[in-house]
Amino acid sequence: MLCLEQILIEIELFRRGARLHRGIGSDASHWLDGTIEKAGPGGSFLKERSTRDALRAGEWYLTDLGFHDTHERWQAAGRPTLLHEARDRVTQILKDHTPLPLSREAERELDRLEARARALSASGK
Amino acid sequence: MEFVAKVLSDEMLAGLHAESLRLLAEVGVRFHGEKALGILEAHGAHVSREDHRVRIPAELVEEALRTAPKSVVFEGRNPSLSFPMPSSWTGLGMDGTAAFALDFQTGVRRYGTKKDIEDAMRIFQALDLAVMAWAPTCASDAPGPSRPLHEFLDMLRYCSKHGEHELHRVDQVPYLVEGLTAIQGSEDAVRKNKISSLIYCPVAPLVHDGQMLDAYLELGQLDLPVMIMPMPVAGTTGPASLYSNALLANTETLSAMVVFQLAHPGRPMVYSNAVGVVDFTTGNFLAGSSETALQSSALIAMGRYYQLPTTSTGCSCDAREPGPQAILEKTISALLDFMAGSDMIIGIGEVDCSQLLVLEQMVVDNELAHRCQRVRQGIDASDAKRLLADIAQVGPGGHFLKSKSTRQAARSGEFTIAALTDRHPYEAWVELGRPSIYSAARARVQEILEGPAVDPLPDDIAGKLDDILRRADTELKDE
Repeated sequence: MLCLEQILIEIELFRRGARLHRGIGSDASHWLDGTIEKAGPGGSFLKERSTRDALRAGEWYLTDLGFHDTHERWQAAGRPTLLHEARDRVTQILKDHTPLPLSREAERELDRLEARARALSASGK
Repeated sequence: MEFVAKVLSDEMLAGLHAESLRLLAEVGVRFHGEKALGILEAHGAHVSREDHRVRIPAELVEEALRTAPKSVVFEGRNPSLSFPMPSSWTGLGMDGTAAFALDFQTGVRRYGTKKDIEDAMRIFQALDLAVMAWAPTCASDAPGPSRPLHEFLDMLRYCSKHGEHELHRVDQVPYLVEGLTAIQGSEDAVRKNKISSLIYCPVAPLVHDGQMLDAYLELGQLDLPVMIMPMPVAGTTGPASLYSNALLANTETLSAMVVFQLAHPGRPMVYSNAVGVVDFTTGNFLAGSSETALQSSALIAMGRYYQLPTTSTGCSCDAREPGPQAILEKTISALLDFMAGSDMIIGIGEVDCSQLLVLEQMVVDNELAHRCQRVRQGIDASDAKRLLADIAQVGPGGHFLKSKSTRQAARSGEFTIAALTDRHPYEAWVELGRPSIYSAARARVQEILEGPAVDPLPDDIAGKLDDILRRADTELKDE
């Protein structure tokens, strides 16, 4: 059974899987012992330059599907579920999406092929 | 052949260890409390009394790793339910101390109570992969100063599997000792049969809480195992690199091991973690992200590198309620931990970043774990599974349904048989009223709660626990 919402949920699943597949980097940019040293016991890493750099470099997969904010905000947003979100997204896509057009030559060729197929079908051959 | 995930190379593991030694020796760790500084100073660590910072030489770390036992049996009050670690299969641990519970009857989210602990423990008792209980929610109906004691002793009262919980203050220790002695008969029995253990979380980055640490050092007299569970959050209380956040967690674990082993050499330690990452769009903690799962797997590899009993937090989610998002996130976080070879995954039964206990979710997570366990088992290529003669006999266009090997395989466990998930054809599923995994779980919860209690404590021991808790309620005061 085809389910349009399920396509979007599975894309999310694949994206998270792809992040797993990339694994854990250990090159110099991931080796933040100096940052740990600087923060020290009881410190914070939020304002460190390396935190900003990591965010921009794609160390984190930032999803826009699923609700990840606090319980209170989830309540205030009407308790959205993954299925509702996917449904809204599907509705939006079907409303707004315009497929990339084929070239005029390709369109003409497809029309010719369709006409031939219909003629063949009508002749019963 | 077992299906194993390897997230760190041998070189990366050795690098993490070496760098942890350097951080402990050069940066140091802050220990609050009365006991740790004296213990560490007496053994040659460099202690600053002004800021409580301790720089720990590598020799002390190596000695702690040497004296920490390489195996431990998490025994149950019912001995047949004991769980030895290391283990060839991954057991499940309850998620713990959620602030809230989803009321099974009304569906309302509210603060947890003693009755929620009782109900959850009865469900936990019935789950076949569940091996270690943890008080799953706060007993908000008990007085604050004695609350952890209510949670600890109720957990052991209503579940005969191994139980792990926490204390927050030194003055709670005598009541716990008395309670454990009441259950097991004597302090010697408590020491010998380890039916309970302690969960210990350093405060990231690189800090140890004084009251909890002092209490746990005091409980060394009973040789209670300690599961060390660092929780740095990459991007806030930890560095913004999965590798370096794992380094920080490992450093915190080693620092805890040093003080526990110096105080009581040979006391059982379990290497664990509950690391996370920050959600950069909201600032929240993320338990169910791919990055959280990757770090957890890295730390499982690190625990195995030290050859210590190793557990991990998994089966976690950020979803605010049970449902598709919860299952998606829990599957990712559990599967990787299974494949990394964790002895035990701790985290079943809760959603909302481990802040909401849901009884149905406990049953769902057990089912999910069965599937992950099957993946970890991999593909058996032994002679018994080489069915070449059958293929030859059936030949082109035939089928295998009536083969003897098919019947044997169906009974062997090679193919999982779903307990909760529906596998009927569409028409039959509609006819059955469109059952979902959660509706099946709800029916199972109802059935367990309506059934008799399993392994109940004798009345006289239960009465002693009631007395101990009554005294604790009266005698312990707010600080």
